[in-house]
Amino acid sequence: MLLITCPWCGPRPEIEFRHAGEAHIARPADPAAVSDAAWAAYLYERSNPRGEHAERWRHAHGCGRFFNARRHTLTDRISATTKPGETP
Amino acid sequence: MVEIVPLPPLRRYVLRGDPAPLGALGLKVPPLLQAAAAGAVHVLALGPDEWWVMAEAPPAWPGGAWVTEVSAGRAGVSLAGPDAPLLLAEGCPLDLTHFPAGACTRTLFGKVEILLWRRGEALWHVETARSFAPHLAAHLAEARADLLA
Amino acid sequence: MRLPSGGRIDRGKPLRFTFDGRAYSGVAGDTLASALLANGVHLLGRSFKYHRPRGLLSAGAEEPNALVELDCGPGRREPNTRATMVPLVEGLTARSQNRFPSLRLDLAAAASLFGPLLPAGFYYKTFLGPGREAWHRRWEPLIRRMAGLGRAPEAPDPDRYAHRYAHCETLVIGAGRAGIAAALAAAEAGDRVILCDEQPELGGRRLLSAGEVPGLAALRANPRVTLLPRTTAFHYGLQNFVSLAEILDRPDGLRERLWQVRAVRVVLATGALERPLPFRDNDRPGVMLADAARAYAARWAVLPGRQAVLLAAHDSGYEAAFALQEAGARIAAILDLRAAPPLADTARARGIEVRAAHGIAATRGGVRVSGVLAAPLRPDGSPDAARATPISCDLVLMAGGWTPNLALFSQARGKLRWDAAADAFLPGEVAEALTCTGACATGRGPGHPVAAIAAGALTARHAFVDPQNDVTTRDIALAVQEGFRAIEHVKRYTTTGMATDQGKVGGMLGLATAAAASGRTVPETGHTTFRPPYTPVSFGTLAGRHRGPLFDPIRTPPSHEWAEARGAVFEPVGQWQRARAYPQAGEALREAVARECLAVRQQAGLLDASTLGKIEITGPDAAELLERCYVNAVHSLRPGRCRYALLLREDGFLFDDGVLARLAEDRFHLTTTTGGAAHVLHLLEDYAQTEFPELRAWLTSTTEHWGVAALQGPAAREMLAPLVRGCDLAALPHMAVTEAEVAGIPARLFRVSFTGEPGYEINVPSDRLPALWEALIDAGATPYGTDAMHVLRAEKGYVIVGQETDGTVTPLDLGLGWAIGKGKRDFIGKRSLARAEMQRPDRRQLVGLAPLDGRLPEEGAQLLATSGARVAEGHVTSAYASAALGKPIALGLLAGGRARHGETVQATRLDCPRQPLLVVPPVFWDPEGKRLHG
Repeated sequence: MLLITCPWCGPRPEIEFRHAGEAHIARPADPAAVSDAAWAAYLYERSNPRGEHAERWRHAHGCGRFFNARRHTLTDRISATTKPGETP
Repeated sequence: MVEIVPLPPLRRYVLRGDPAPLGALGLKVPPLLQAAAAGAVHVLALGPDEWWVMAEAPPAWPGGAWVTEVSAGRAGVSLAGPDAPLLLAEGCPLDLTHFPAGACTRTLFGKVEILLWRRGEALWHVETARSFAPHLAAHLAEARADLLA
Repeated sequence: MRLPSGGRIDRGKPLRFTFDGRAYSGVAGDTLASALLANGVHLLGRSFKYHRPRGLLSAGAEEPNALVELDCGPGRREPNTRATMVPLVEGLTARSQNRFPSLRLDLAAAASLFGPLLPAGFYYKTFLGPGREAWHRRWEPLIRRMAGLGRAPEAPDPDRYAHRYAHCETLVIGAGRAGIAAALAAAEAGDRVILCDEQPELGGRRLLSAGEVPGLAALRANPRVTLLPRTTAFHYGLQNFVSLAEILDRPDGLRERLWQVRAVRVVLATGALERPLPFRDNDRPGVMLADAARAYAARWAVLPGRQAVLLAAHDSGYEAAFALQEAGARIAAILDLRAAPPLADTARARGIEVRAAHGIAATRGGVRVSGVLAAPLRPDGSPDAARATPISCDLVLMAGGWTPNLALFSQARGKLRWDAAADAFLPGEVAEALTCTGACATGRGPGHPVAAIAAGALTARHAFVDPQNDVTTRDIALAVQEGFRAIEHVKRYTTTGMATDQGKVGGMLGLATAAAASGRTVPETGHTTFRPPYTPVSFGTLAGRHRGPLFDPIRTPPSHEWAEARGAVFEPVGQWQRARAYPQAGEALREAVARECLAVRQQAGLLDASTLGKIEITGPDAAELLERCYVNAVHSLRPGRCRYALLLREDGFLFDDGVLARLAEDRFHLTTTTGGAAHVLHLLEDYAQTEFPELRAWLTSTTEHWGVAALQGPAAREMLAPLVRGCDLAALPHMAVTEAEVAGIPARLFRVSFTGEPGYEINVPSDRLPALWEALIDAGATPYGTDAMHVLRAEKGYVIVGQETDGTVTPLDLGLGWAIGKGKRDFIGKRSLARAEMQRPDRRQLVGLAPLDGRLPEEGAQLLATSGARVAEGHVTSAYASAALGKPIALGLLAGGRARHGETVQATRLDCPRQPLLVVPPVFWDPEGKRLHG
């Protein structure tokens, strides 16, 4: 069970958290101006790296905040967690 | 040794966004995951912009405060005694030796999300959503029975 | 045979037990295995496939043969239990497995005769005919009946299992010399220490000597040290999260405890496991690991035999032989695979004959070994049977060398590296804060190289590598010959290493045999992945207290007690129990539902709607947040009014629906479906926190604070009015909300309807709902449940998310485009709705379906244009018997359905007869909605 460092609460067991998909997928500011292909990419295309992966977690059974993390998909090591909007 | 007692009825309010209304109730804004008190009114900082105020009687909220009452939706138990952390270890994954009096947080106990608040050296407040409370109480009771034996 | 003195047993405490119905006695401190040996019982089981007679191979957790069934009463029958790990207790009842009618005379041993037809993987190559179905219909059921070892218990387990999360600075796994030293050092440094060991007595191989184990007293005296005997670390999880299974067997019924430990540092002191040796018939009872025989003598004062032959590939065998000699056994000979055994002279000085470069060509005997054929080794390492000489013995010791026990290290994703000098896989790199100490880190020194041992046994017959799964060296050689070269393939094809010992006994030997058969080195061949659990774990231990009533929380709404007392029938809705209906005496369920429906349409009914989600949204930007998320126009919603609200996903499909009520400029009360409550809150929080963090709007779940009594029917207002203070009920329009006092209780009063009759949803604090409920019942309301609720809403064509929708349905498909705010720049899902695909006229659209034959359609039935069509154009989403209309009705999704009213379609469920349904508008009752505004 991972020990994840919530940027607000500190290290907490994985079962308090909920994974929330890939990070830094920006919702287009003006969706009406975006082509079908670009919109589909926003909805469905995600990276699947063998290595460091930027992803979102939510401290669902804790402070309830969403935050970003960098996790290595092979070792499951989370190397950094940051509040939304901050760069690690 | 640990006793389980149902919590007395409490009024509970969730304050979001701006903590200024706490001052009107005489409460200092506690740091995150800490509780503070003014007389019989307590405030728990459960998130960076989320404060839970608990009191036996409804406090006099200033007008315009973004407060939502959740009293009837919550229920739970008090754990009293030096073995409370051992009982909590049955279902709570936190290291409670680093959870001093005055600390509070949402976490889990078995299958149920709980609000855990250490009110004293040997006094713990454990509450959950109303409909989960019977399961929580039964789980704690079964675990306690085996602790004592 | 019990020795007259010695052993770490308490001869003053005799214990009685039975095995296969015969009574025996042992003493406190015995295991079932040692007690059986003390009583001269050597035949303990029959092997899995060939039903060969088997006895004890080991004295520990790696035991592959002596799997017995313990019977401690109903619900306490434990199959496949290793006799070596069962502490003897008074009255223990054990029985052997996998034999009929008895261990001694097992008819299935005749299966041995078919051995050549049953090598590893036989089921891929044999029993394949006659005919295509022969395997499935004839052979597999037969073989399945014969397979398996133990019998599963049939009664529920009456015992209890505890869980405990624990935290420490140092977790030490294994309480031998190295583990105790590590624990002492950590304790001295002030750490919280947990030291666990699978054995009931701590000490590891120090228990082979008499007396107090050094270091334990100091550990016991330290309050920050937790000692856990009979506790197996079985799973090494991420970041030093280790699961331990502690066996308590408390008389009050607490049987086991699962410890889930988060440690800052973990020390593995798991020692090394002795390997058996491969030779013909090396599985006969009486053939055991040398160190095990030594343990039986030293720990339990039991001699496993009187006349022993040692087959040695490692010096440790000599220590065992000398110890047994001192205990009174005669060592008939030591056969050493090595050409120049270092301890040969020492042995000879003790009067023991030593033959270097010798092996065993075969064992002799029936259900117990009676002798060996000692043979010189040929250059290729195989014994030369032609030059073999018989040696009588009743005990054969195998000292095949030692494999560092690194299963947990491997579970921690540690890499094993082959060390040629040690002739072993030793711990390499690991990403966890984990150190290995003792024999698991270094091995016990090389003996005869395992590669050479394997090479010499490639052609031997019945040379077992994995005794529990009956896998021989020949099976592995055959697998390689058939093209299985990758070690993971060899493992799965032969099933070596897949038994309950998970390769502890035969893993290294199996690997070396595959290497020899394929002409590769051991490191080139590599090893298989170690997976949890390290040894079998009871389901009870994993489940803990979550069984029976505590399996999952059972959530009940505030009127539940009243409903139970009234004899309501309940159904699970997620974790909730909701009343389906309230049958009166003698009433069948469907009669009750019909009566309740009519009561609502004709008078007034009362439904507990408390389980629906409720979210309070506050803040200056509350309206803006909702405007951006929901499809509806929110800014234009005035305080005191409600709207039917839809929430989509970004892909445009319906996610949830509910009622959005505006209480004030900066305060909204939003309802969701029962099942969607948590998901909606999570989605809204996501957007509020990460997409629109600039908005000052906050969400609070009030689902459980408000109990909801839904009073619906033409008489609802008349019934409610006398109970209401602070509000002019007559002036409250449909889709409005106000604060009022109802039955003396402060309430949020909504005029909304999910039935099509005028009605109210009265929200009161949930602890006050029972009082409100009783007041409304007293006023004449008829309680109705979810079954009636389903019928009533379907009669009006109101959809239920998850029933009429399945994640691929848009608001336009349902004819709910009217709910979308006109001219809204954006909301979740808007962009997707604009896709051409989402506007096609032939999309599946909500329709009503009226049966032409008076039969109730089946929900899920597929809709065909004609009887003979093979392509479905839609399906029935809901179907009910309608009391109000006196006939069955249904709703469905049909391609281009809105343009097909008046058409007849055929509903079908696979090969059932077609049912003709008339396509009609999706509203059966009061299409103009006149009754709502009454």
